[in-house]
Amino acid sequence: MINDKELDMLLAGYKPELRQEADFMQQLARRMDAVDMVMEYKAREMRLSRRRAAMAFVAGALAGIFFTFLTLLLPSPIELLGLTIHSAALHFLLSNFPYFILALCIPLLVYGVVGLQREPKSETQKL
Amino acid sequence: MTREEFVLVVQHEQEALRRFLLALCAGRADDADDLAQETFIKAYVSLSEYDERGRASLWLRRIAYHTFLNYRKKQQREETKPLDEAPPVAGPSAADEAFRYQELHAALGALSDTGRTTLVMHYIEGYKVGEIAEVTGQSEAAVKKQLQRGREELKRRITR
Repeated sequence: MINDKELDMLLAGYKPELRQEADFMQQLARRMDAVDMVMEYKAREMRLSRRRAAMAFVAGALAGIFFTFLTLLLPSPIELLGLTIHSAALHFLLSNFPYFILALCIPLLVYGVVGLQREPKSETQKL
Repeated sequence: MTREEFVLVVQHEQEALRRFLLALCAGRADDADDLAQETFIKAYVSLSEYDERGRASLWLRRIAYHTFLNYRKKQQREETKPLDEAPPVAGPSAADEAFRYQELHAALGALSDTGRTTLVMHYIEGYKVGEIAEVTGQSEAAVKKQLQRGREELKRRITR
């Protein structure tokens, strides 16, 4: 057992040798470079995804407006072809046919726009 | 803070932080240096969160302390490297160093993680009780109690 003074001296004089500072700093610099590369990539991806989202929104809105007006102008297949329908389900389907097409077209269009914006894999991704 | 400014902070702080972690790792130099690297990288990634009015050394100690606690949890899960194990010796100079601090490291290794941090920060690094409480997330009364207990434990374990 040691006394207070000896313990204080031991703790105050705690200066163990460390490995080379240059090696430590070099290793840290390499890791920081890797962090910079990843952060740069993430920032670029975020900018791209914001642009994609904006493009998809504009395309979706325009397509929505266009197809809504188009469906209002087009006659239903029942009127167009002069069909006589007895089944209620088929009647419902054919009389709302333009709206089903509309619901199908807009997501496809938006998906297409987003897909067009996508870039091929970068070097960072390949790594 | 830019990368250049951060590098200046690292150059200024690395020695003290590595010694702090070396004491926490009870003399395991490889683990201490790995934790120091991890601490600086975590600090670099979260530079935007750094309040420039505060002390960089205290901010780095907080990150280092949490990094050390994570390392200890991982170590306890693996149960392969107890802290009171003798550190590896690389050469004559390292052997002298290891021998000089062997007893202190072993005694520190016997303390709890928080107790050891508290003791190292206060008696080796000279931090105040309030600052240690801020880093470890304890009350000042708890820190004072740990300092007293830790000191007694070290006195009991170290012989001359």
